Amino acid sequence: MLAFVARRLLFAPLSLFLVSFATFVILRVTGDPVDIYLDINRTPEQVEMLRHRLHLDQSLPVQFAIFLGDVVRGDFGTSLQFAGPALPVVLERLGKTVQLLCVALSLAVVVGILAGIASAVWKDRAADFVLSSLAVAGQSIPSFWLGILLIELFALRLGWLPTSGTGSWRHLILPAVTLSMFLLPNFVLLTRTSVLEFISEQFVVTAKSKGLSQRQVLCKHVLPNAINPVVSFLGLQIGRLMGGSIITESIFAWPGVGRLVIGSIFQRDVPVVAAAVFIVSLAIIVSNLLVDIANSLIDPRIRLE
Amino acid sequence: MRKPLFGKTLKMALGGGIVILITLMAVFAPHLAPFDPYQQSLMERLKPPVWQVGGSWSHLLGTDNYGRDLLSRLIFGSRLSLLVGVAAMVLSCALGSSLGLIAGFKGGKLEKLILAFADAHLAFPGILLAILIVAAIGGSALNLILVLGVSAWMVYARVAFGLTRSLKARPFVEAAVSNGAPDRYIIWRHILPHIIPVLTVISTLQVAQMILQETALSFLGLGLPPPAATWGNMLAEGRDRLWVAPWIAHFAGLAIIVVVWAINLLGNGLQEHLDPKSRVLE
Amino acid sequence: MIRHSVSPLRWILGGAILGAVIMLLPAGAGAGEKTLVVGAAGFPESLNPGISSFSALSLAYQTMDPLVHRDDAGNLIPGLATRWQAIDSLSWRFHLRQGVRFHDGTEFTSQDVKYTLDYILDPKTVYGTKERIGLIDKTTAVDKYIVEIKTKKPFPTLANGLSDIPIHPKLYLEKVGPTGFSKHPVGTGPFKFDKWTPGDRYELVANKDYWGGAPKVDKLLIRQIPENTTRVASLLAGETHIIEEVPVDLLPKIESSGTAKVLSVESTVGLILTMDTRKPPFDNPKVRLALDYAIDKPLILQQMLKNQGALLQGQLLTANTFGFHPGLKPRPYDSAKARQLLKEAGYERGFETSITTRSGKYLSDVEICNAVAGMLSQVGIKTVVNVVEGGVYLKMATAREIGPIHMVGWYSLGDADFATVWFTEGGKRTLWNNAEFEKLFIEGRTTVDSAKRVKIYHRMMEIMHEENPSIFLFGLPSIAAVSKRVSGFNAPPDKVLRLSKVALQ
Repeated sequence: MLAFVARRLLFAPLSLFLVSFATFVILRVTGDPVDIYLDINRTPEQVEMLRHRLHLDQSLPVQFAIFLGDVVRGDFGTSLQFAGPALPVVLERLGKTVQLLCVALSLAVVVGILAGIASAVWKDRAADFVLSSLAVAGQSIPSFWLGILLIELFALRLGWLPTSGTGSWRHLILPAVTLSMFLLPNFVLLTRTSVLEFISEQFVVTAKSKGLSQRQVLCKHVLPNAINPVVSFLGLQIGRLMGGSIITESIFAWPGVGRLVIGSIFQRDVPVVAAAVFIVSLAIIVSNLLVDIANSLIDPRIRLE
Repeated sequence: MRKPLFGKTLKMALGGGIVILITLMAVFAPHLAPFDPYQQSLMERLKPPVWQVGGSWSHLLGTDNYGRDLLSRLIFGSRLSLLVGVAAMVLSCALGSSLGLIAGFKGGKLEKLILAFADAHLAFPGILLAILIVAAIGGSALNLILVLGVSAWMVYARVAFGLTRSLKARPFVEAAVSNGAPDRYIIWRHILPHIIPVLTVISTLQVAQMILQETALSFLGLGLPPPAATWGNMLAEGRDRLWVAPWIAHFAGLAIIVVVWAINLLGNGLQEHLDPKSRVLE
Repeated sequence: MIRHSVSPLRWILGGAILGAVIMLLPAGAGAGEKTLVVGAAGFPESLNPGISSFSALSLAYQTMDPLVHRDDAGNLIPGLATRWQAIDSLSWRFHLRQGVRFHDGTEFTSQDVKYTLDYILDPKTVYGTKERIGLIDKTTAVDKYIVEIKTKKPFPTLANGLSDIPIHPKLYLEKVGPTGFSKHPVGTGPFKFDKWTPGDRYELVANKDYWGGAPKVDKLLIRQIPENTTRVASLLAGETHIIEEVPVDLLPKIESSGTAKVLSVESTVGLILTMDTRKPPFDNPKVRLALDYAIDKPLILQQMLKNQGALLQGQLLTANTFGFHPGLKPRPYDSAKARQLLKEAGYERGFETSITTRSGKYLSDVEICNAVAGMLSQVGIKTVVNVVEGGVYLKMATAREIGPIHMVGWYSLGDADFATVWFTEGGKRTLWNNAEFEKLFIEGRTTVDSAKRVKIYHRMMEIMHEENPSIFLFGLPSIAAVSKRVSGFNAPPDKVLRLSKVALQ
């Protein structure tokens, strides 16, 4: 077990290094910070000072080395927008995104797995058809369109929920539902396939013949095995969910990292973009690691691979 | 055993049928569209579809913000949306599966390197990468295809790697290797035929993802620059007028749903057909 | 095979509990207080008005005051200065309001004025609105409540310029520095800083001791809601009370809601399409003229803007600006003439070009560009619209490489000087050069006699009308929508929200 985790941990810094490299390259391509930091009345001396301060007068490899060193120390530079270091800004916003992500994820997992089981149990009946079709349709909806439709229905027509922003748990519902639609349909379909696969396996059939009720068979024998691919899938999807939060946060004016990063990209706030990309990647790597560990707990065979 | 209500044949027929229809629509767009999709007529703007009050037969589905015929834009929009989706898929599939193949076939340092790259890239949300790059170099059909293509190669690489590695251990490949068959021959003859079916399924589903990604980028103003008629652009442009001219966003949204749904259906059907047991993630 | 019994249901249950706990965490806000909520489309990058230039003024003026205020009609009214007069052609005397205190309790005096102006005019300081007061030579504190400002040249628009300069507290700034100030601004304004969450919300509390009278609400919350539809929805749902930047097509929806209404006022923004006259094809005056004839401006105004705003009268300035030339008229729409001119210019087959614009910066900006592109295509000029983001636009504008055509709106804030500067070398952005225009600009800036100044600006408008460096489109309105519970609010022509007298029922 420890060896497995250690092996996985070894990969994390490499991934982070590559992520840093990609971030650095993209940010250097994006444009000259001088134009962003200084207005049109700048003097050559100001430009010179700024270039020196940002190490733009060094060669690219040296710049990258400096960048890496800063990253290790958690220093992504000073954000113009926030008049301070970039990292705390990102961390503060990360909380909001994690909150949204957790609710959306719980929603997707709970509803998705339950619907998937229902769909598998009632295979080829009307309920299965309806659930599967809904799931496939759900996969096909552009999320921002769904978000706006939800606002119109639940906030304006019915007046049950607030349109946007933060403040209470009620503010969370619409964005979380919208975001969960990135994953929920996949969970339904995946659980369905997975349960169906195990339901016909020998040991399940044996268990049934021993007189266990269907519920017992499902809980004791089918689900423990069927859940595995769903959990691995989850790990792969954290990144997609993070991406989806960019759209969701924009629609619902949710002050998370997604909106921060898109706003900062448009404002060319390089330090914040770099910090956000790095932190998001770190979060994804860590959650993938957790998923791997969880998976190996559920299914010891994985460790042996 | 009960006969499936919605079996793989029906899935493939329905999904494939719709996909073929939409492809035909894209190919013959100039003959099908009643109007030039870029022809503006400000006096005619925001006209509702024919069945609503104020609609007319000349614009069946109504007009958009600039008085352009919505039906014509939808028909022409299928061209760019499909083009971007398919081309991006082809690019990422070619890139990913060849890297995966090489990693699986050659092994060693190359394998570690490629897999490490794939892992690192997986930790970088695809849409974020696309946003960063498009914001830097600007949106054009080519840029979008490149960006979306590059941001999704990892899935193919992982699958191709896994399959190649397990195939390589199979007796018939081992036999070919020990007989001194050239690599190219082994890959061409023994490996590709076995991984193509799986890749086909992933690719099909990926096209749907690419179309949705294009929509998301359009929402952020990073899609094809106006006045390009893409479904993503139409949906994004329509969202500000959802209350006064809901048909603009709704028709574009429906078009996206239908095509993505059909592609997903086709993909799922194919998957069941090729290997009812295989679970291909994404 | 190994089978074991870690129940997956536990995972599901765990997820559900986690979700429930997180949802219950944040509690509601305090009740009983009146909080005015404003929905803004965008926030400036920073609370520091120096960095963010004009867009930060609306936020800055909640906590700070300038010497001279503008009212909602654009007239200059006393701010921290109660009166001011010219002593001679090069010096002005400002009498300051007495007994005003900054939010930190220190008294506002002439030292703060001197400190602010010296700081902004220091060549080392980067300050967005510096040019507005660029002709100031020296500031002297005559006594505690009198400031004398010497100018390098006669500077008739000094008071206008000062209306864009919030007065900073000297003692506080010396204590916390510019960064500390951006984090927690202190001023003399109607609201006190409480909390700033960039990209999300700006929270303020009423300054009960405000010299202009205590605000009528207890708290002010300015929320950033970038999506147009969401912003309007928040107003209709009663979550916000005032929203800025309302899309024209949604106006009827608001009017018919019964709970909110639309406020619209003429602003001083002249929306224009500026061509790169240094390069072909726009170096050819005939091509520029052809474009002017090819664009049906009244149709766009009527259909796309629903007659909100006004046609620019063949000149840069809006009719409410000092220097407006009443004798000029916009050229009529005449596509035949446009084709003819293109033919004469040697572009019988048309050409390809592009319009660069930002999105959401001006009312219906992208929509207007698209409509213009459609009209240009009609006369054979194949046009694409290149929508760029603020940072990129700034970069392009500074480098003076902003594409063949770009859309821009220049605020005159009531005086020709502020708008015309962008067509001179002094503005550092112009793509067009005209020696006479340059000369007249300097002359206008340094002439005190109003009658003479008006004549100068009229001539400048004539030159632009003849030379056509830009196509003059519309004087844009400033549109806001408010809940019917709100009273005492007017749509500001300069986008600066004036909220100290706004009441909430």
